[in-house]
Amino acid sequence: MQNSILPILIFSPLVMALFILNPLYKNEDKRLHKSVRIFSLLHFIYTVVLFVFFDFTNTGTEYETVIKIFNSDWINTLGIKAGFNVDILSMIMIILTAFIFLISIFLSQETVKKNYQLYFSLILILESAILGIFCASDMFFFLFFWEMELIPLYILLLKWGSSNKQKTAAKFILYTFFGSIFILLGFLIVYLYNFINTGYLCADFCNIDISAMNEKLKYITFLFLFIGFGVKIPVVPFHSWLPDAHSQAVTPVSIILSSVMLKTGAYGILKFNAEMFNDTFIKFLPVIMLIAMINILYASCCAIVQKDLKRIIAYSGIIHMGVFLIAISSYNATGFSGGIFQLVSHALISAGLFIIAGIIYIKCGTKNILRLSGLGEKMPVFMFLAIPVILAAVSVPLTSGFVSEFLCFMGAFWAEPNEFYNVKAIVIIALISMILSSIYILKFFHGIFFSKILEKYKKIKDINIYQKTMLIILSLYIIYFGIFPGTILDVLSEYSIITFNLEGVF
Amino acid sequence: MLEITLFHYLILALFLFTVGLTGIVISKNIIKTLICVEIVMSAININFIAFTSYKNYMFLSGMIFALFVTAISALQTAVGLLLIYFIYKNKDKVVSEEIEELKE
Amino acid sequence: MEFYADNILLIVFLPVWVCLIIISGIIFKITESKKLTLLLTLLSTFTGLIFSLNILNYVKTNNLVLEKNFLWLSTGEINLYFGVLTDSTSAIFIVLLMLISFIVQLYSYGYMKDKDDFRKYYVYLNFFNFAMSGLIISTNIFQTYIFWELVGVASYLLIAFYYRREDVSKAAKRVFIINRIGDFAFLSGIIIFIWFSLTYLNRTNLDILMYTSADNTVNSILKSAYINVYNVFCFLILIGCFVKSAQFPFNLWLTDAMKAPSPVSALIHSATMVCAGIYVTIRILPLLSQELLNLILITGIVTAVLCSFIAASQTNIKKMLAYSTSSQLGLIFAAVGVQAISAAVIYLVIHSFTKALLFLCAGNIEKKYNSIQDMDVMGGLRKQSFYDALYWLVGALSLSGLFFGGFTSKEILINTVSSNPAVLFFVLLTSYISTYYIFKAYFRIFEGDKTILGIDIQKSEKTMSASIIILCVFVIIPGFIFKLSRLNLLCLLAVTICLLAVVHAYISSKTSKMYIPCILQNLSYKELYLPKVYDFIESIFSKAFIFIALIEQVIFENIVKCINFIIRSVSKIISKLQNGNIQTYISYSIFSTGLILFALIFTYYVTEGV
Repeated sequence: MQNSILPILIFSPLVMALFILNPLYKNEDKRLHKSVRIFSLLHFIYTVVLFVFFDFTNTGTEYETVIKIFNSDWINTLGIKAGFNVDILSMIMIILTAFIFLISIFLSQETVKKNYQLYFSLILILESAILGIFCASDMFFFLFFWEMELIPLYILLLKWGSSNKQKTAAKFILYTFFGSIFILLGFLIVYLYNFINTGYLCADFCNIDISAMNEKLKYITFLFLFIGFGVKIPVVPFHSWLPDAHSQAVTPVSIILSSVMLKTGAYGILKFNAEMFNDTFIKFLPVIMLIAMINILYASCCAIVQKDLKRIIAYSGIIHMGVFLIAISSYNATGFSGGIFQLVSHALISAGLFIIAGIIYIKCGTKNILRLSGLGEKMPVFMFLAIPVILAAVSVPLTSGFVSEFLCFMGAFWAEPNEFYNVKAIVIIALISMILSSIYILKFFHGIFFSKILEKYKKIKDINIYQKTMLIILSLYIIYFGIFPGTILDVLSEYSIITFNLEGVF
Repeated sequence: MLEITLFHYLILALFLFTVGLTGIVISKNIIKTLICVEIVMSAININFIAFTSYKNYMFLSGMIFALFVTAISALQTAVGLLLIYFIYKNKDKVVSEEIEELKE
Repeated sequence: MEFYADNILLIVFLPVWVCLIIISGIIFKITESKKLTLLLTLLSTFTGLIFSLNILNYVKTNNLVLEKNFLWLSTGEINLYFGVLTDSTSAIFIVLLMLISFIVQLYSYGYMKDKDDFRKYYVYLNFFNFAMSGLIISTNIFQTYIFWELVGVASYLLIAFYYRREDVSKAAKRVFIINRIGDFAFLSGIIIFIWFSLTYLNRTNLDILMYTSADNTVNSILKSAYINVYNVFCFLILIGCFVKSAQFPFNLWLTDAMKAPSPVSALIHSATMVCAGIYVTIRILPLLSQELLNLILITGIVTAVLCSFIAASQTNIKKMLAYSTSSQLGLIFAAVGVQAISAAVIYLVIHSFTKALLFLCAGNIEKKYNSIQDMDVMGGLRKQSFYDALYWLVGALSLSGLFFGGFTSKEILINTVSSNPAVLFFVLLTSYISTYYIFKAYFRIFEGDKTILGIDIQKSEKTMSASIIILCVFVIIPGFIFKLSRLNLLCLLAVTICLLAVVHAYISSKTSKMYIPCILQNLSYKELYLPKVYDFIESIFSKAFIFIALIEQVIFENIVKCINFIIRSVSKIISKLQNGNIQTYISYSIFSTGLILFALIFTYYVTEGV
């Protein structure tokens, strides 16, 4: 293999995962933690190096690699190759993934209490799977990584969850499988169509041209793919796995779930529904906008009523992904670049909120708002460091939350009018999420830190230096992206115009 | 006077076959089942022999096969009776509705 | 001179530096010194003050408008700018902000000296300075919105300063949410405005949203052609301004904001943040149509009358002052509504000084009475601390428009609205009621018999007294700039009405009766039942949220249960097929064999056509 940059990136966590399972680490917790932390730090630095040397003016793909086993493709007779490539969107997602996994590995020492070997190896396999999703260039290779993340997540939810583990894990697997069936169907239709059309068996989705497909077939395939990726995003009828999974999982797994896994669904929508099925996408825009609005308003109402800290954050994840969908339904450069920026911003904010909830769970042993009160008296530094994350969740300016929300809604406002409903009215109604998000986020914040402190919490100490550092780093990132969003956005608008065939609006 | 053709023998064999099959499916007593298996076997025998004799002894292997069938049916009855004996020892009766161990 | 104008950004960013220094001091535990914090803060504010005075001088003498813009964000279709706008309006507001900020920071040192969150308080004060000065110098509406929200955040953080109390927690939440509603209206207005400008203006014309292009002839042509859209987004932005300046339907948050420490109330909720609404209204004035100007006038008048009416029977000092702020701002909005900009700005400046003085006095009184704010239990304070009475009297005389600075500004205001008799009547009514409540407060607190409540008569902190004295000077001086030649009948009428109100107040405080019909008194005391309306709306919404969340609980939680149930019952039915009986299995195989044979023979006959 001449070009082994990407395979090293993607398969090194897998190798490390298998390496951890050796008996050397059986009872050596400290050494295990140290080695995993060093590995993830090196992995992140490698990703950063790749990011720095990436040519951002090239809107096509880079680092293309195809893995050949004994000089033949993966499944030669069916034309399925094991190929990787990255473009700008994948690069942003990869560096985000590496960063989030770094944070959750550093958080694991205090939150996970048993079976470290198995835990870390599962997390590393998960990292490998998710990086593979973002890099794969072949449809069935993509699906291979998509399914590969299920087993580690199932075991992680089952073994280290709280109260309702089995039901949560079973629900998660059922929903995700349900989605995967539809994705598989969609891919098969595209693959067979390509075969019938050109006579070659090829599953590389960058090279497939489906413009001549039958209209009805295009609709059906688009719908299948949308349902399949919609389970991951999540879109409201299929969202029921998310609150349970995020709240019953242990904190690092919650962070990974909400910051990275939801983005794989979004990535799928962008790559397949928006890029490959471009004309059908244009016809489906009114539906997507309506779904996004239901997402936002319905999940806001649910979030306000919740009593569990992590469930509030889970529902806020649904809301932010609804904002992403409404940005995509705008079909212009502002909307798309705002939507992709929203993915990055939401990942950071969600990670920050889950760190807050996780620290509370470590210190107080409960996640129920009704039982928490007045912790600000004993942990003033924690309260002060939590403020930037809280403000970003409410999308206050100078944080990345505001930039993404503003661009998304502004882009959506310029969407093409349609004959079913008034687009501008829907966008303004969806903007009510600003008010509703302040209600539940303040409920979250005040419920933990304000009011009188209860007797049982009087002995709690303030957070230690690691947790402080993590919160400070996240806050700095959020504020940096709020003040200088141009670092990512400048590249994204040109990329989106070329990749998704956007026309100018004015 | 009707001439007895191959057809009549085949009808007889079919009739015996059906009777035997019905008996296997319906009978409450396992020994009745075994007897009905014998009926089925004899029906099969009639079938084979009828075909060889009416076709000018072309397929002589039919007759030989009938001998095989007889022998095997005898052996099968023996094994079946042995199994019934053990069931009887365990349960004190041989009613087929109560032999349900093959369920999950 | 130009040096100061070129470096105006220093005024904005100096507080940020001080903020960061204090934060790192807290985190790395460098020093515990409170004097150092105060010194740094005062230094930055004082520098800002010097700069802004020079800029005011420079801009006023040369009548300039300076503008500089930096590109902040460029998406595919639009460019968003950050910029610095220096003209006379912004210079005046910055001077006002810096002055009051300096005084309040000095006062807070004495007020907060014994609290342990001292340095966090000063972090928030510096952050507020940064946000408000950024708002004032912004060149376009989008930048204004950014700092607008930041000012709201600063106010929320300062209100939630005493976070250990339950009522403060609820109040801070409510303040933030009501401000958010205003921000929602503002942001919707901005988004519609941007869409409108991009659709109907040339795409290369990049100064949409800029204040300096609001006078543009293109805009006026467009305004006449597309008046409806202009009305829509201007209305939305106006709603944002009304919420921020606590005008009538939205004035509830100002009473909740009184849970903050008194210096914060003086700085934010009387003198600076609530002026942001008026500042933005002045900036977008060229875009407003006549109907919207009438709306501003009506809202202003309604607020002025109703809020002063409510303030007349309140017994909590700070609540009364909060309603007084709303009503005075209503008067300023009315002045803006008749397009008397200079009168409005002068009234605003003098009112800010006066109100800040009154709030600081209230802080003094509060400290003396161990944080009790109820006027009913106070009395006879003049005999024990003469200076407090003096300061309050100065503020009262100015607020009512009888003497000192308030007299000048009120006279200018009355003369400009005198063309419209109805407006004049309401303005005079408001000044009557204002005089009534402020003097009733004076008589109640300072005159009369000594109360039995113990009073903390230690000498006031030096910084507190010094800051109040400086503020008194600024309230008194404008009174002597008045030109005697402008005295006319209207002024005398106004002064007579106010003197009548003083007498009414004196009698009222002696007999504790208000001499107005009982219904009105009840209505006024219960704040026109507005809090009950808000609570009612809140309860309706929370019921609606619970109802919608019920869908989540009933349907979605149970979808998997339902599917589980369906699959299990179907499988139970099918598993009855497997009953362990061999004869059943034999019958199945016979049946299926028969079926296959039948199918084969059938297809054979069909295809062969026999």
